[in-house]
Amino acid sequence: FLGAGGGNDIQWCFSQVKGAVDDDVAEADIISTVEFNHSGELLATGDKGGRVVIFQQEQENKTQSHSRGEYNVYSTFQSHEPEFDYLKSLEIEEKINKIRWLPQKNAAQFLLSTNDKTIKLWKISERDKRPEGYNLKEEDGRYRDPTTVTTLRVPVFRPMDLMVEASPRRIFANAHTYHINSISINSDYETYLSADDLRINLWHLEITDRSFNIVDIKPANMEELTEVITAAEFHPNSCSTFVYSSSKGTIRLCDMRASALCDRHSKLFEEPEDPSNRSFFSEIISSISDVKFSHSGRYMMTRDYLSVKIWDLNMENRPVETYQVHEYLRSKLCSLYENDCIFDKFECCWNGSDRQVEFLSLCTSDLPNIVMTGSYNNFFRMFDRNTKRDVTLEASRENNKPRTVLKPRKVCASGKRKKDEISVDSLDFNKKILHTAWHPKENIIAVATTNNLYIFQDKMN
Amino acid sequence: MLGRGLKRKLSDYEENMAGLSSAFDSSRSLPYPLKRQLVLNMCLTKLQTYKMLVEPNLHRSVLIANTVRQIQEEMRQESSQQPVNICPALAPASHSYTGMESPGISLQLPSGGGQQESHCCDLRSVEDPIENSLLIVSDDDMSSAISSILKDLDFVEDISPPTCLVPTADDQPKFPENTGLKLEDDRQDLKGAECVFGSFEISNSTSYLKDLAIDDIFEDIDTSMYDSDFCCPPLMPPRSPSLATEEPLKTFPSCNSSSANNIQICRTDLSELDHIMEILVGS
Repeated sequence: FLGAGGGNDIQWCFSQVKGAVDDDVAEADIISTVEFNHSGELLATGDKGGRVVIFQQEQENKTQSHSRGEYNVYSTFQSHEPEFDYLKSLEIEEKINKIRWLPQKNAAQFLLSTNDKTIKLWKISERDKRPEGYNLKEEDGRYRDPTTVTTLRVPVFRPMDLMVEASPRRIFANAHTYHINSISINSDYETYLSADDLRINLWHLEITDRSFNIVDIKPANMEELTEVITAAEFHPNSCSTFVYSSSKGTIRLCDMRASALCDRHSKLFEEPEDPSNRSFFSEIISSISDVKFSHSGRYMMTRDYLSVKIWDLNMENRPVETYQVHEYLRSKLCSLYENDCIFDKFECCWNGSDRQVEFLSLCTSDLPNIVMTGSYNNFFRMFDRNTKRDVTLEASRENNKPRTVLKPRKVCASGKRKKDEISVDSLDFNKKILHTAWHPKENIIAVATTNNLYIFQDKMN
Repeated sequence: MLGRGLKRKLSDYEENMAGLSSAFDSSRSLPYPLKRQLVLNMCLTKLQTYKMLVEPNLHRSVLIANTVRQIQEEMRQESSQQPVNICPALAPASHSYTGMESPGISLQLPSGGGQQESHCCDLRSVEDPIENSLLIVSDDDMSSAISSILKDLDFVEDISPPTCLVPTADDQPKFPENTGLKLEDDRQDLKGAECVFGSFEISNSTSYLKDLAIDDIFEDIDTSMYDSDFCCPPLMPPRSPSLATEEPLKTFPSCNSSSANNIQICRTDLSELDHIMEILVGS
């Protein structure tokens, strides 16, 4: 149970860092997605080389009450391989775009991982016992001569060293012409959606040879194309409701009960443009890079290039809150356009929650309500919706003393730079934090820099 | 060889653009039309770069195309408010550029639609380095750049069509239309196929090839052996009417015939070749 808010800001401490130390980043090691499972015990990362690495949290040690369990490598497997589409002469990247966990139903864990074209359902299972004492086989596997068998026995399971195996159980292929940007598992835990630039498909987890197309925004004439789908997510509670965001800064909420093809939205969320902020790049920076429902499903959060917006599902004409992530970049948009940084897709996430408490609580403003997103120079930002305070922290190996509280960072937009501040022109735009994840129940966060994964925890007293 | 030259030019351009975009960001005194031109050029350069990629990024292409459209629309509106066609030579008289003092500048305002000269002119000014790097682009060029990149992104759909739910009475009227639309979709997909293959045609390739006449490309190939003087003798009377319409190259098989004339011609060529080789080798 998370400590109630009310002024106690979380103090974040470095816990661990995973990944290579040297500055020379191997392309395949670039982290492309980070996701905790539903219990928070497992943390999965996907990289550009098509690999998935899963970390498992140690069971809490009673003697080490000052820190929560550490995350150690649990399983590593190659999820996707590079492919070549011979018809179009195109190489299909093996980069993992998204990982989504299924809730645990039995001893095994299941996750969906996707690259640009193909989604795969992986089963991760443990093996810590093996059968011994076969009648017809020796221990090393050689077959015995049946004539030498004089007695019969029942083979028994004996313990062995833990082995974690990942095996692909379903492969959902050939349903996307364009690049998949999102997958989202429905609250019925039987179906899921996958979204590419122009279409969204609905799948059943058991069926791989067909999917239903539920959104199609491809115009008859491609020259008329002005908008693409950038992200999509199912509502956490309503299994017929989903949203998708667009490159024009709009979010559409659709109800699958309304029609087979949800081209007509039920709700359209769009904020009118602020004329004082108008520039040539207004549309580009309004493109939404991520959309996430709150745990209760009453709100949703969107991330565009410069800000994070919180929307109330009952109000379509404007967000209820807007948080500026790095407003100092507004005056640098042309340079950022020139070097393509303006197209960077930052993700965002909500803090974890105890959903039962959230539902029972009469006054949800007492519950901690924080959103997190990344920025440049390996900075990441947290916005407390209750206190309206925000903080900028840095993921860097220089701060790697465990249990040392991270020092807040500050960017000097203009004018005289104070001590410990960093000026906008000194920011390293190659060091971007695009992917972050928050433990579903505890104050543990995973922050991915280009090729390293940082884990931070709140300071436990 | 040309490829290398092109690369150098591009990296110079990139360095230039980095300087220009920081000038855009930091300078408040840059006049709006100039800023707009700079952004437009950056957009078109990016679209051009994407065209050279095997698989351009759809999201980025759409965003950039929209920016170009927005600028295009703005320019059209401006020019529709100024009916007078501004000539390059009279640039100092242009009231859109009151902010600029330098006399050497002459920027051509695209006047939209049909009146426009459709070639790109690269106007240079000694005084102002910013104008030096700007390409003035016509309305037509902008539209065609957007069209071509978006057309190329129309992939041939090789996937089996997703199964549609059986339409029930409750479904909205749009659904039964889908089956009708599917035929159109197929036709569109065929068009898409043509577009994909269209990018292989010379007409869609880089402007280098567009600028040259077809004959110029083959300039350096020696076709003297196939000139009609040499190949006329082997012509056989019954075939002559059709042969008259055949291309010169098609007479080549007749050169292989064992006509004595031909062998003599070839031998002459060979001895000439020997002669040339002797000179080269210096024996």
